[in-house]
Amino acid sequence: MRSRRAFLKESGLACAVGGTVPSFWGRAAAAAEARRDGTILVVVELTGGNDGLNTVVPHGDDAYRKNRPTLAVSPDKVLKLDDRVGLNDALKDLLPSWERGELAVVQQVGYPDPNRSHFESMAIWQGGRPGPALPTGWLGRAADAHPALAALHVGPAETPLGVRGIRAVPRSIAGLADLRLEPEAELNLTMGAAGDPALDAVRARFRGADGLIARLGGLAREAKPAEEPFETRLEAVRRLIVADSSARVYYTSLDGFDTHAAQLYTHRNLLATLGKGVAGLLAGLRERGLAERTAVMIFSEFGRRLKENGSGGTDHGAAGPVVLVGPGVKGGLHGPHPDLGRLDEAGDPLFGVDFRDVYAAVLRDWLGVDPAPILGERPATPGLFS
Amino acid sequence: MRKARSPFDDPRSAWEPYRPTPEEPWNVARVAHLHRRAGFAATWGQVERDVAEGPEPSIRRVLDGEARGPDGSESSEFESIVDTMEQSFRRRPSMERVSLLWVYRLVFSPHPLEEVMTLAWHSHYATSQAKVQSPEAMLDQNRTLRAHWRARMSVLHSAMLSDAAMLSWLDGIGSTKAAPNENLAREFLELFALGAGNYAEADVRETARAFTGWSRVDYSPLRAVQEAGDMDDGPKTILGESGAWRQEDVVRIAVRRPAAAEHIARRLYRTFVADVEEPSRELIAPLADLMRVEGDVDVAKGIETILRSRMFHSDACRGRCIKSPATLAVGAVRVCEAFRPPVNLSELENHLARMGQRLFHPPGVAGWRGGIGWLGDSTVVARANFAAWLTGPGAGLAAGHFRDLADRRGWTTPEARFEGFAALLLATPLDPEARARVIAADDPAGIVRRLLASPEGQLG
Repeated sequence: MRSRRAFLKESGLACAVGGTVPSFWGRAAAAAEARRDGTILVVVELTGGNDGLNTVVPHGDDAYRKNRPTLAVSPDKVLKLDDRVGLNDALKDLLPSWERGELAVVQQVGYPDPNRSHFESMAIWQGGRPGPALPTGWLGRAADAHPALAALHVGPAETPLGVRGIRAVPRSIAGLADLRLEPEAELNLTMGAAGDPALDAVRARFRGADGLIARLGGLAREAKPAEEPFETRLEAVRRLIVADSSARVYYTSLDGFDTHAAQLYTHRNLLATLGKGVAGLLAGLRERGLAERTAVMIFSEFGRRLKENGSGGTDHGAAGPVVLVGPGVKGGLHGPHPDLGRLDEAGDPLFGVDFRDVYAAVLRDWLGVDPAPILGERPATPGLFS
Repeated sequence: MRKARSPFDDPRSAWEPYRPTPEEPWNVARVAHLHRRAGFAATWGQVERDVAEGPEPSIRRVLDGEARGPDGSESSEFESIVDTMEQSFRRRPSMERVSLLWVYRLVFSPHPLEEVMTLAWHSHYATSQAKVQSPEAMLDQNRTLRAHWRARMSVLHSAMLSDAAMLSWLDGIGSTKAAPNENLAREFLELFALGAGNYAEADVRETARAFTGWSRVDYSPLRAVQEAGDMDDGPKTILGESGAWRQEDVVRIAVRRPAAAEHIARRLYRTFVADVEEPSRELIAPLADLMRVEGDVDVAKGIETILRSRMFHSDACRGRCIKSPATLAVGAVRVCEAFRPPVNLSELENHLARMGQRLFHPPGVAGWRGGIGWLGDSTVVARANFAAWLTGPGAGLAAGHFRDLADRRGWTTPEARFEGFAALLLATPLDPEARARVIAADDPAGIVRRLLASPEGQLG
């Protein structure tokens, strides 16, 4: 079987676009133009409840060391952000972003009356409202209202609630392997327009898929269909951004944060994977001049208990840090430092910033849309983007 | 582009019955269209039979089911195989087996319209195993939807509002008089019964009260019961009517609203007539009128009206749907008679998932969007990969299967093979250059592969 490209070339269609350019073609071109200027959001979900206190470490607080006899990160290792908190040294790959003023930490992000169930709290964070689960996610509703914000989910699991809307159907791929044409497979492309809107729309989708595969080069062909590790998923996101996949929101996740036992090395390894992956994504985009358009947002469904448990791990907590990285992010610390002297009845520090306010800032100040119809009236956290 | 007299532009006569005329004869194109929309396409033998027998017996057979499955086996044999599979499932339940059972029905059912409608209701009352986590409950819901595929809407709504999988999916379980959960009530009004804009927020709150009292009495299999103690049977005002309404009263009140028939008429229109554009109110109104029967919504009447209509049998109706993955894939399996040995059904199910229609896992409460939404970058690739799989060695068919099939039909030249398969698979003529490429494939498997992976092949 001849290759798809050879096939096209042979039939002389590769450059033959019909004589009269139909109107949808012009609209599609304009949309593509707009996309190139649009900002891009990459959401990284830390699944399982990330230990926020060992991510952004309150190294200046005695209560932290007292409650974490085996897990506390020692002050001489912490990458200090100020005299009270600093990053876990496993996140060293993100330190240059902090030093360039491109990393913002919003501390103690959560919501009133915290829910400590993974499923329910994740549904709250992804849905964008505390209380009973919503049928749609905050980014899904954003795409419902603004189709240009269509999301692409990269990961092995179900399409997450966060990107699901009523009308907007997010695309979801486990990895670049989902864009791999099998050796015998081919797209029987047609370049011209038939004048029938349905057929022309299908032809455009075929050409779109074909173009994306071509722009991705051999990467999709070489990708393994197996579950891909986090770095590979972020590499897929990078390639898709470079190839202009037409998504402005990417959603991916790093699993394994439910560290109830012997978490010291597990958690450090996860953070190292996170830091390396995110730094690598932004460095790769910088080479192509695309980093300025991209902001990464890192969140988890809850933090973990201040007091470590008897198994060298930590139990489900409440508020935690949200981290934003990228050249368009205004670096710095936001929100109150965790007050380890004031805990709720479960033993968790109180939340200081409502997660919806961070979302509102992302929607308004980064994606450029009105957050009110998506989240209700919320005061957007000021100063997160430059 | 459409002719001025297309039924799409003539709402008054659109739903009148089709009668063959010299301009609109009963022919292969019409029969193939009927089976592509109201089933999963037809074998060449079925098409030849229906062309010879005329519209009435053909449409009747589509509505009521065939005596034999597409593989020629008796319908009683099909039922008994399905029964055996279900019994075996009850002994050892798993989600894989629930999906496999349905894929088996899709491929072999002598009554494919029943499956088309079960799929449509699965998207209408979209419920996902991802949250329900009970294979038994998912199978039970699937059986219920099939049992009531052409029932009046009050029957379907009532069945779904008491369905364990649905009650788990939309948080009916655990909704009490003291703390009513609005999730099921909202989706009932918006997605199931009436559509957005046809109810108020107060109706959601009051409906939620009427839906209270459900609790889980067993996890495996999942079972739920409505207990009087937790149920709010106090006075309520719902959609303008006041009384001590319970769940069944809400259903009764909802189905007689004017919007109820229109909402379901639109669902049937998307399923059978067109899903690439929304129908105008003028076009839907007469269909909805016919479906309003005794204060209820008569689904059977709607389906029958559509499948007999001038609209459905008009040239303009062809190519106005995007084939769902099931329509594309199961249709190809049936057209290619991939029955003995059967195509690898669990791989077929995986292909449906990759093309974006993982059975029992709709993408959200609103089900699958359908239409052009089926075609994204990865799902277009998945369709081409499906075509390569079905016509390649991995599908589990006998060597030379496609050539033997074409030879049996007497399709011995590349052109004849193209014309034969295209008549069954395509709703619209293929672009001349794409056609040349298909014919150039020469061997029957290659011809089918390129037909399935062409833009025209995606139109229903």
